[in-house]
Amino acid sequence: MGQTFKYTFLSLIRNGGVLVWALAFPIVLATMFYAMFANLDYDAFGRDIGLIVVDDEAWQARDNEPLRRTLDALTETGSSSGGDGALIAMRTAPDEKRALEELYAGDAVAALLVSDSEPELLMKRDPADSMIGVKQSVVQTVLESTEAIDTTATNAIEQRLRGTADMSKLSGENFVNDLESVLSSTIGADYSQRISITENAPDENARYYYALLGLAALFAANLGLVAMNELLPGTGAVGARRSISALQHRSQIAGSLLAAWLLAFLCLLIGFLYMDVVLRVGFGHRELACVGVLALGSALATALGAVFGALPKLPTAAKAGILTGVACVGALFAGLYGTACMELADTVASLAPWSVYINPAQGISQAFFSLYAYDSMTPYGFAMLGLAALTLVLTGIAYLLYRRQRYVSV
Amino acid sequence: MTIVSVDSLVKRYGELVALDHFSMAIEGGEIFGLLGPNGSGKTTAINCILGLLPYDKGTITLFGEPMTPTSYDLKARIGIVPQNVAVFEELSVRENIDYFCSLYVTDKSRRRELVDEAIDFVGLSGYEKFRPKKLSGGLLRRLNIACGIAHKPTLIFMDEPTVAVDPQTRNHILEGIVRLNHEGATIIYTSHYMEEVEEICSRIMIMDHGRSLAQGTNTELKAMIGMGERLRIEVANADDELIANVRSLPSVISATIDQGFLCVDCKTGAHNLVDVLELLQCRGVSFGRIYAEPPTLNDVFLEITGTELRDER
Repeated sequence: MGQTFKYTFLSLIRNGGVLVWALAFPIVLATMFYAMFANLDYDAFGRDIGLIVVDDEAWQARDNEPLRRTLDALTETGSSSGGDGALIAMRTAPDEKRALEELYAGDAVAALLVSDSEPELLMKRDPADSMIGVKQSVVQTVLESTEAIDTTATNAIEQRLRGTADMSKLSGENFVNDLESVLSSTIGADYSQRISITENAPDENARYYYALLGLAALFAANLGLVAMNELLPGTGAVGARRSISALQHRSQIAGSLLAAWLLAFLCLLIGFLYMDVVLRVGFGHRELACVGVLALGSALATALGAVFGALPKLPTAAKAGILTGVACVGALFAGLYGTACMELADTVASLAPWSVYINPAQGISQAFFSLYAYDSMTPYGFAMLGLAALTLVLTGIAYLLYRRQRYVSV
Repeated sequence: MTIVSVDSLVKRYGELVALDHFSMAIEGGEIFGLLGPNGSGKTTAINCILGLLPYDKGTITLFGEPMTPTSYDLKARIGIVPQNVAVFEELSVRENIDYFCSLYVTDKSRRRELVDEAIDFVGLSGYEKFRPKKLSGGLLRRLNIACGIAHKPTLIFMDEPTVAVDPQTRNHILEGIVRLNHEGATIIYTSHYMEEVEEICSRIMIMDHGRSLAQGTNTELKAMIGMGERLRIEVANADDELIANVRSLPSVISATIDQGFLCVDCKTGAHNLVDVLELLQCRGVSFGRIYAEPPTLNDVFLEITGTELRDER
């Protein structure tokens, strides 16, 4: 078995065609993702968004206090998406005319003025700035969210105060100051507290890399396909010669598939290291557990490839073609092909949770995601169990198919 | 001792009967030739014997035991040189031989010796690091042989090992086969080239349409047919009357003119040539070069089946 392992490994690693799909293609695709997502980096539009505020009497009205405070907070360092700058770069203008002049002369994206007691945003059109729409969306979201939160918070606090506080202390003119003093004595000085439910900040882009690793594993399944295919007597003279040799079939299968597994694992490991170290994709700082996913994922891929390699009455090229199709469909339901695809994958997973366990790409992607998104290792454990179970099932199917093809033809 | 025994083997592919109650018995130490045209069932018979094909009826024993896909003890004593080259394209000459030898021999140092011997035996020294795609057709065939015999099997199946090789390589291969036999291997050699079979095989079976038509030594097979020798005499001005006269001689089986040569098939006899030459002299026909050839296996095949061995070289 050792020699079978050694020479199968050598044979596969020298098979350039297979290695391109298993090793080079995922690295190329990851690099393309990186280039694409760099344009979507929130830090590119999540800081120093220029906003001109018309600082007149209407703006200084009491009703606009929440919005003023919100914008003040968002101009402070630490409010940007990266945490090292300010989200909004606010400048004031005395009136609308000057505000508009400054808006079109400078790099601000919008002007904010209060008209008929309602805040109003004037958006600039600038075809030269490809990110202006996104930035204006941020500003608009700030405005709308502030209004909505203000309303909600006010209602919630009033309801709570009715039950706990001395309402007689609340007066009309100094409502906010009175409210704060009442709140601090009844509820506590900290009205809200930011907590993180996970160790890692949410990163939607990372899921695409996880799906890519799932696809890479399915491409690496070609190694298992080739290894199994060359054992079959009906696929060529090499298989015939091997099948009438003195080494037991089980040993030959084990040696060949172990070699394919090792090579698939190495290909995935290289791709993973490239994403982790070079592209800095988030894997939740659990690299060792990630290696476990790679090991089990490559075993699953090898078993899947072995099933296809053992399919009867199909030429090798057809088997490889079908496997490629399966890989692409599997990656579809792992969410690889974009936002809509990721939403589809999430929808399918929520409607049919069992589907995660029959799609190798999704299973592998899910295992990585569980490491990133959850503190507990339980979801990871379940994901790994699913991968292991599918591996065993596919290995059994491959062996049974092989046994039915011990002859060159029937 | 009978090494291979095949009794009434039947193999069908749907309506097509590839082997039709085919029987064969091969003794130890023989080079047994299986001769027949393409499609006669030679490879099918070999594949059935090796357990690569299931068969519908009959029995097959090797070394006195039935052959099954899991008869690993029997397989350890067998080597094959298949008709299609069976090597890994990505491995070098040495790696290929070492791998296939490792399927039989687990001891590393012993295997190294065997691989070295096999490389020398087939004349691939100097090509050890070459990959198959860098080898010529003849060298590739040699590699194919080396992979099949490196582990020193006692029974070797060679299925048309000289297809599409140059004459030098063919001679090298045939010499090698004889050497293997002298070293103790029993060899089953299939071919549709009668010259090779005549040259090296101690016993020959002629088969066609899945059946054994005749078997014996070279001499025994030729003795089965009426023809004793073929005379080819270069003549000038031969006519139909001359041919008729030649045909009327008692020892003559047939007579034709072929590209200036009078071709006369004669029964076994000591005076065939004298009789024909005397007739030519009487008729005043001048003649030149004269050849007297014993019958070939093709003649045997022709007499038995009425057709020639197809795809002759």
